[in-house]
Amino acid sequence: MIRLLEHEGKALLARHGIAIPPGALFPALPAAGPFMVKAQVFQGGRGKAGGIRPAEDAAGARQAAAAIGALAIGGERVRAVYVEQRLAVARELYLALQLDRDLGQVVILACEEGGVEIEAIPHERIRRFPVDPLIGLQGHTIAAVARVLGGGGTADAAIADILRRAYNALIAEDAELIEINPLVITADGVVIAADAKVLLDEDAAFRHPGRKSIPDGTAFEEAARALGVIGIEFQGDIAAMMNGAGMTMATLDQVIARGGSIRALVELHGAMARGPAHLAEIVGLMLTLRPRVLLFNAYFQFRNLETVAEGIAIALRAVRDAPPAVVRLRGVNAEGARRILHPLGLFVTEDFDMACLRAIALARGDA
Amino acid sequence: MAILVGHESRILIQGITGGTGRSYAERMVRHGTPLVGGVAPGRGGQTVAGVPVFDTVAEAVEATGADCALSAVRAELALDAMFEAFAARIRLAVLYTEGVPVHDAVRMRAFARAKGGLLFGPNSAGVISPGRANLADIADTAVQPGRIGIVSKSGTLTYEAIDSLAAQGLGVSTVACLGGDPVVGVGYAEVLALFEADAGTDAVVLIGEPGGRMEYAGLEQARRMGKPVVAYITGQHAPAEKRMGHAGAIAGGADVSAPAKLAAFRAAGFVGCDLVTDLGEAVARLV
Repeated sequence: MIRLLEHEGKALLARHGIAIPPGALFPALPAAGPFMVKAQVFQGGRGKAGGIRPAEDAAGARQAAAAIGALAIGGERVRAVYVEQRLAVARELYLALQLDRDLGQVVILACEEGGVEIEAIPHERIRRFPVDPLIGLQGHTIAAVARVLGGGGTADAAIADILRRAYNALIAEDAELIEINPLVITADGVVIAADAKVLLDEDAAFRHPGRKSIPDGTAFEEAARALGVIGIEFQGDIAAMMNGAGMTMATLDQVIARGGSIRALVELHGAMARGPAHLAEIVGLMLTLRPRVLLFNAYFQFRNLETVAEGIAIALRAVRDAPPAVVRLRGVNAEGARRILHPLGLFVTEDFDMACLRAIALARGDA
Repeated sequence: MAILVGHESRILIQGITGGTGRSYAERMVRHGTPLVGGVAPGRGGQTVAGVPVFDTVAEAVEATGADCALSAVRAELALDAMFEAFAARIRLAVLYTEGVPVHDAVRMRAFARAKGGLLFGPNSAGVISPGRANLADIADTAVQPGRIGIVSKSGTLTYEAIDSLAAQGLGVSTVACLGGDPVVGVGYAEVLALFEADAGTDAVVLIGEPGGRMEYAGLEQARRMGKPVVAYITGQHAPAEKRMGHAGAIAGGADVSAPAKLAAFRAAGFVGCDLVTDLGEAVARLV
């Protein structure tokens, strides 16, 4: 999943013909004030944290931008400051298009009270409109959403147009979420997106050449991503490598239930197919975290365990001060894999629980 | 007996000339899974593992009477492969492919349902009725036929569940892997209903994950069943789900963490396991 900052999300909406306020990334400023100066962060609650400030003129905007640029919001440093022309707001609405995983459909969420955190709005006041993927967004749904938000008034037509464009953007951009909160009706009756939260589907990158995610993990997690695997960093002792999300979570559960702690989890995500040298690079990355113990939990019934064994052997031979390692090998060509690892003198077992217990004991220094 | 696939199934592999497709074909033939053909556009007339290759699913269905498909095509081709399969009246498809865009998953799921088909996946490790038919990345030699059903999103965790059951002398009627992606075709509830109706299944293991509410739909089905259901929800210690954003917080409603799901099964009177390696003993006490 790729998260966009507000200004990126708005640029995406604008490309699809949705009105947004004139704006510029600081130090540039929009042509005319008054201004709203806005922290660009992924964390919510930036308004309460002082990350959104009004300014009357360019000097005020620069002052506000400097202050906001120095903030950390919810532990996240402000990534950029975006300055917009301030809107004369008459009404603030809530509109979101979200891919609902349980329904397996896009759902449109609409509420006539926008501008506040959506969690603060009573559940029953938010109207939900599922979209059947076989027919897409049709006129009856568009009209129903416009009636909820526009109340049958003069803004209905503009709201319907924005909804149609937002749905087209959701599909065309492979977005999982487009949330416009607030969707503003100005004193002049213009309907305009005053904020934008957009989540894009990373798996659809092949349809969108050049689409890259903004780094938002630790250095280790980003390096893992660059190697085509999923890395999650913790503060404990054992760095563990598994294949499959389920096995990864189960290994975490098992180690913690048995009294151990995790330094990092690596989910191979099919990276075995890229060969031993690539796996060795991944093991090398795990070693950079200086874990007390390495745990490899490999149970393959389709891919070849020898690939993983060779990768481990290459990586551990390349370093002098490798920590102790435990290897759980079970499945295809386990005997061959065991032979590859034999010269390294590692603890090898086919039993999941025993591997975890041994890794925990080694981490405590009592094995 | 078993559910979903068996001796009577007539199976196709979509992408049979690729590396993964070819490995599956050879293994199926070696272990007696009823593979009747494969599909690879432009490769019609060839054979792989002794079965004929067709250019289209429609031609393959016409010639072989195929009703099930295992698809190991590239992610870019997955949506079209599923449209093609269900349009040609394939009844059950396993989409093994990982990395399928979620909007494609939404569309293939809707089309499969409209056609009355069963879609396992995307990112499904497959379906196996041991000794009868194997459309899964589970080795035929690693699982014994028996009377316990397994339904899981994860593929690799079914290996552990199978081993844990085997340690108690218990074999498996059918393993159904729903797929690890957020949007998949068939859910827990539909598979549980099939196990309930199956004379060859005495109890069911349900393996869940954090995120989404599909396990709760499974729980509602389990309440209506006469057969015991034992649950393990992996990720009891997983960091809070990052996947869904702001609107997800409201659309998700109640808690979708692994501990919340496990607690819900236990509160409803079902046996819930803390560890995947505990599943075998828990089931053995009930059957």
